[in-house]
Amino acid sequence: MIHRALALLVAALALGCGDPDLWARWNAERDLWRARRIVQRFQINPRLATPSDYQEAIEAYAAVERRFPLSAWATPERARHRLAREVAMLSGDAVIAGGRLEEARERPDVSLEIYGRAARGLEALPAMRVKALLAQLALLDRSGDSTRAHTVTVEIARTAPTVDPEDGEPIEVAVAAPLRVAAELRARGMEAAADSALRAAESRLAAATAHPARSPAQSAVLWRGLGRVRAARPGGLDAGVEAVRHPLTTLPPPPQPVRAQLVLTLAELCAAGGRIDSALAYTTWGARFGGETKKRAMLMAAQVWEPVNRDSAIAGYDRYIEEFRRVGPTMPARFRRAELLEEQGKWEAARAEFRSLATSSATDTLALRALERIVTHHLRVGEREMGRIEAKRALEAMDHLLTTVHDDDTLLRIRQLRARLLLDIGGSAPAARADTP
Amino acid sequence: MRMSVLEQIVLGFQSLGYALRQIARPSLWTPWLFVLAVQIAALAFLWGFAHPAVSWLAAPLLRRVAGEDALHYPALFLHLPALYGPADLLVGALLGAVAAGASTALFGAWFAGQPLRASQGLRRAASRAAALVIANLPATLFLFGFTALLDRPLSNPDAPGLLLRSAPLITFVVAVVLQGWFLWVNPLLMLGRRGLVETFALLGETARHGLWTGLTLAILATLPLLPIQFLLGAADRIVDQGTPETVGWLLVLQTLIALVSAFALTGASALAYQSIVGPALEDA
Repeated sequence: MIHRALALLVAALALGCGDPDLWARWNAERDLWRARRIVQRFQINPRLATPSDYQEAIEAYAAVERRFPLSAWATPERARHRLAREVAMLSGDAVIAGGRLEEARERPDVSLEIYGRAARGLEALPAMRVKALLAQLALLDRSGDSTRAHTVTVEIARTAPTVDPEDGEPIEVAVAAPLRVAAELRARGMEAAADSALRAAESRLAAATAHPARSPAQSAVLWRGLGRVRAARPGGLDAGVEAVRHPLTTLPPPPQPVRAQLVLTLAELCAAGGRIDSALAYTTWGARFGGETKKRAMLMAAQVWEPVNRDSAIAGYDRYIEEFRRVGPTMPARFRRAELLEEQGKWEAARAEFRSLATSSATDTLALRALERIVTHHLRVGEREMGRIEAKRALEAMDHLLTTVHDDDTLLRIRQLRARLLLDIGGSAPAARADTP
Repeated sequence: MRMSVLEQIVLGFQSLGYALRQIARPSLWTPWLFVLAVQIAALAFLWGFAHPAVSWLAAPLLRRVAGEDALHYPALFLHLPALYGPADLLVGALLGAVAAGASTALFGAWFAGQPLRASQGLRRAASRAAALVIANLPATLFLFGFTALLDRPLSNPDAPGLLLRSAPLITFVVAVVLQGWFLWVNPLLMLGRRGLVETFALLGETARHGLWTGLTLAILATLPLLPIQFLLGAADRIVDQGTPETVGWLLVLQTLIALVSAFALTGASALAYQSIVGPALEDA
């Protein structure tokens, strides 16, 4: 008996009757981990990264793809098996990561080709395919290629699943993409096509919300998406608000963070639809959730007031800044308050705010913009001498920053602003010099 | 004749030194090589769980013991010390006890000037396998029980800081005392040819004559393992640094050091037994 059991054990070990896909997943995870470590090594200080560092990392990612090609692992047949599907996803991740590195090497054409290849190879894994398309879209957006970006957005809107088949979690882009497609089509005057895109998304989301096996949180997020899509259709605000409200009135209730999201979405929809009172009521409700929701709700309340009552909007920003000045940066709110004050003709108060912004966090984008705003205000109202004095003061501040800042992006922003100021006060030759290191 | 504390401590050092000088004798190593083979096989089984040769058995086992997370790279290496620990304990309690018995017999014969062949030592130990396993079990069980007991307050987030800081030291002291107390069971069984009940009954008497030698040997044998155990305590940081396999290699190193320690401890205990404890018991 013992001999027979031992013989069976030896035979099992020799033949290897375990799952080869588990072994493949283990190796794919290990290879991808090692490739990511190479990237992390030089991402600590990208300025010191050499072309060979990038090449090594790209090679490591490419090796994952070569060992576990999408053509073999991401087929519809294999994608039905969990482990094989995970191997395909790891390989897809490696391909996309390789594309991102090509982006970092400033080779956008190669990146686009890689993302496109990944998207084609991942046809059988729609959630993963969306990742490749999103990477492609982000790159096209950055490069300003709106035509191709629109094509990719349409593709995402058409194919993105509403929920991730792996874990049932709603996929945000399944809502965001059709909304963007519709907005872009409307901007071109193609109302019918825009409505058609929204209708298609609406029917997919409605089907997803009807699925009985969703958790209250997943269901609520889908209802929220459905509401946003419905509200974007002409005359669809009521239906949209109704859809977002639906999970707030059903049992069991979704968890508090999701409820907070729903309330903020209601505020957004009402604000966008011009229902100021409702929007303000929802922001007041949202502020009761506390934390980040309170922050967003209070900021939104100030923004809701802007088109109807500037004083109330400024008071809203006052309340927001007073509430959150100790817990985090309030620069965008302070900048907007200063802009509103300037628009109201309260220049002294606005200038004090701009100046305070410029000195409180000197390298922040808004601090630099605040410097510029002071100069441009004087030039716009014809106070040329005052403008020159303020510009001189701003240029001195920037010269100091150029000697102390080492971050490439910040240095570029400072030089660009410097060039603009020099142009504003009349000096194209110094301006041209200012924009170069 | 009873030796003073200092004499016992010196004897401990001398016995250990003499045992270590036998490290190059292959015949004395034979019993331990079986233990090493099984330990390395256990580690390879866990480390290579995903290979089709073993995954049919290893993967469900790992999933059951450590959860789905343990089946992924590099998470396995975070779980590996905790997974290998019980396997190592089991191998030590069963095979290790018999190997210690065989090694004690081989060392005893070597020191008596009548060396045995490795197979003879193994046969002698095999004939007393049950007694050896049972005799070595209390030290393991007491230590296991103590660490389980200590884990309860330590896992409490409000555990006092002093307790958290001193826990490794407390565990070390308890392990040393247990090992020092039960050190003589193998010589009593294999060299003194005592019965199991008699062996336990004589432990008090052996402590009267050789407690400090036992404690000295236990401390010296445990010390080399501390740095590795300290490093394995930081497995999460090792994995984060990007070299997860290091955790596996540290376990291999720990196994090797533990084996050399066990080899030296067995040899030294056999020598010390023949020098003072055995004769003192005969006199009594």
